[in-house]
Amino acid sequence: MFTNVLERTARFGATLSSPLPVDAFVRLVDPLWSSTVCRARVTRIMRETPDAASIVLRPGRGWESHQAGQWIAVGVDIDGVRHRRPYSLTSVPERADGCITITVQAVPDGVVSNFLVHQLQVGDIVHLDPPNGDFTLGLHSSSPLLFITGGSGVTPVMGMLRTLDAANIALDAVHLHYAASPDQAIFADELRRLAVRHSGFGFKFGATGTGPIPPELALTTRRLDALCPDWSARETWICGPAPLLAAAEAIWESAGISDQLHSERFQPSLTATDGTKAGIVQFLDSGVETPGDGIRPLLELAEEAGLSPKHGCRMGICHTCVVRLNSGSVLDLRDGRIQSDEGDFVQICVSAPCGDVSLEL
Amino acid sequence: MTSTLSVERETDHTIVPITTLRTVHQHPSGLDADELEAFGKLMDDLRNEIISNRGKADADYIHRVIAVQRRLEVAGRLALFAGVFPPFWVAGAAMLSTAKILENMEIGHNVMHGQWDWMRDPEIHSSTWEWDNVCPSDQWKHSHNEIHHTWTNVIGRDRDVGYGILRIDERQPWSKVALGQPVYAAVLATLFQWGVALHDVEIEEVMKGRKTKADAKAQLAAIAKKGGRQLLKDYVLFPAMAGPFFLPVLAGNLTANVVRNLWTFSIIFCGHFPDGVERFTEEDVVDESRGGWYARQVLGSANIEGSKVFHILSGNLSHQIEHHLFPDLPSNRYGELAPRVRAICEQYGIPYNSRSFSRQFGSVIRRIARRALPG
Ligand SMILES: Cc1cc2nc3c(=O)[nH]c(=O)nc-3n(C[C@H](O)[C@H](O)[C@H](O)COP(=O)(O)OP(=O)(O)OC[C@H]3O[C@@H](n4cnc5c(N)ncnc54)[C@H](O)[C@@H]3O)c2cc1C
Ligand code: FES
Repeated sequence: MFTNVLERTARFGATLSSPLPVDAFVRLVDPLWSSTVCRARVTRIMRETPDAASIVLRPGRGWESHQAGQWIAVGVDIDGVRHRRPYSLTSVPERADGCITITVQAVPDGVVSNFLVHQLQVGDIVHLDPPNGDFTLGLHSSSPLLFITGGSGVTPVMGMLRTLDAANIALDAVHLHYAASPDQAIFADELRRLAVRHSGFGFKFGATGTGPIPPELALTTRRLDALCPDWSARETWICGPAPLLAAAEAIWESAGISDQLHSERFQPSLTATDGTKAGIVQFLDSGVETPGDGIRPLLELAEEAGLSPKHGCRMGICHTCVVRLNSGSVLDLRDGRIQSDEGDFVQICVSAPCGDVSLEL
Repeated sequence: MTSTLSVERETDHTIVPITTLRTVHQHPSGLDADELEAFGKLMDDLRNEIISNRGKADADYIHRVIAVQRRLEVAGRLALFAGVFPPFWVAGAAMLSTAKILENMEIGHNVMHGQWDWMRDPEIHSSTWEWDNVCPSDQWKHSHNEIHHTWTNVIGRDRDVGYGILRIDERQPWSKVALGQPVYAAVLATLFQWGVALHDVEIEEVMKGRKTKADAKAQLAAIAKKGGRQLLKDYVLFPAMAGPFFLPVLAGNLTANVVRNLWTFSIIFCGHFPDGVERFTEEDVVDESRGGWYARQVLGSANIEGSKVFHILSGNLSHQIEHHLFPDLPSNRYGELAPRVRAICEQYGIPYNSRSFSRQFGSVIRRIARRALPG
């Protein structure tokens, strides 16, 4: 009965606001009042290191709670253009104040990370996608645990440790954390304090300096044996740079316990355009693959491969042919612009693939 | 297709096929292939320049226009609830008319052109936008973006030449039906959104057997659904919410829809049908180069001079020439492009048609009246 009334009110509202959703008007009052897209307001920014910051967000309607270790896609408009990047949640799920936190490390030349760390202001609005990812503790909360993190890779683990701490679970955990230098080590102080409060939690930090990892710090079986003798009996979560992950995967593999190692990668897959622009074009929705020479437009390639994509003018003016880019880079044949972000809208009649490309077509 | 061309031009009282008037492939601008290429290059440069420097200021502009439009709509509808008091009624109808004009012109039309797709905001995107017009946006994008913008002013291809019911070029065959066209034009202007929607159904194509009845029926069903919602909203629900003041609200909403129709009709007809604007034959566009396409857009469009507010209310279609050259550049940039485009056109001897609203509109009215008669 009550839901019936709600439904009818919603339908009535939708007719009044049509063809726009009711949200379009409700948002004039408060941008967070939206049931179709989730937005959040920045309520606090805390500097963690010279180039990392924790950002406290108050999500609006439509936010679903997360599990520790998961990430959210954060969308921000930079110079008028929407950019989305994944960031791990560092806050405890379902905090009393309803807020969530991400912690961002600015990477050199990074578009979004530098914006978030150095330009974002309290009061700004960001866009959120629902929490995602399976880098979570699952049923292992009270098993013996090992965490290995490098740089900003500490973030999902911080989320897990804060959650265990808040639930008053007696920790049986070892955490090996690497960063370029002590003042670059995000959360080092908090982790040390945690180790003081929990006798079952051991925290060890290694400063790797910039550049290649010094051999004495590289992850090897010997080093593991020294730092955490019972490592092979622990469920392990690792997050950090690719070489660290590669080393761990080899060790756990040779110990025959790969299923105890849970890993998360931060580096997005970037298909560099390295001069050789030929490659394979994948049309995901139709399950078709075809070679591209880097010169002819995607629309032609798709048609030759037997597809009939929607299109109109075939010369880049009507936008009927726009499809979403899933991965790889495409070249706008008119002006040489390159598009390479996942989710970019590509005019396939005037865009050629640069190397391997997959499209939602 | 070209061999069966039936378009003819009258010269010295003899009807000669157009093919003998122009050597095949000569561009209507009179420029040769090299000049067209150079002209096209300059236009491409302008386009690239705007693309490389569009950014936050542009995004702020469209966000602001959208916010103003929505506030005006809400304020207009609220004022109309108090519409038994004449000042409220006038203010309400004026605000709602302005909101509907902004929504169709500066926002809807331009968003659907993909002018704001670069922002990658899924809510302000050509693939998702639905406008407050009974013509469903997917149908509009087909007839307008694909057909009209590709075949601008090509008689027989651009169905916007006279919207299929008005004879506006001497090369279009005359029949007695044309005698009534001043009346048809007035009716079309008043009901313009419905005219646009039905225009897209391409009844004549169905009659010629080039389009299936089923396709046309599906389109009509979509129009009926969308139109029905607008009718329900503007003429039943909002008036009913006013209770005893049903009539003033209904009258205000009707006024807003009609004002918007008259305004859009006027702006759009001033864009392509004033004196001096050329229309083309299919022969003119055979093997047309990119430069040739650019030049044809200039020849086939006309600008209207006016204030900043006038430009915004016209959806910047007052810069029709720039819009046709660069249909997917953000509309707020057309104004700064106009003098530069004009200078380049003058350099290449391409006529650039720009006059006041009253002069352009006057010549459109005269043309509609003149072409009601033979010749
Ligand atoms: C599941 C997941 C969770 C993530 N969680 C976090 C998090 O909690 N905190 C956080 O700071 N980041 C996190 N990231 C990384 C984040 O999503 C961005 O990739 C990162 O912020 C860089 O984006 P950018 O726009 O600044 O750089 P871009 O402009 O995209 O890239 C600029 C340059 O930086 C390099 N680069 C890209 N990513 C990294 C990186 N991670 N480290 C070093 N160099 C890089 C690129 O190769 C490129 O040369 C996560 C990534 C994933 C996939
Ligand atoms: S088909 Fe026209 S833009 Fe691609």
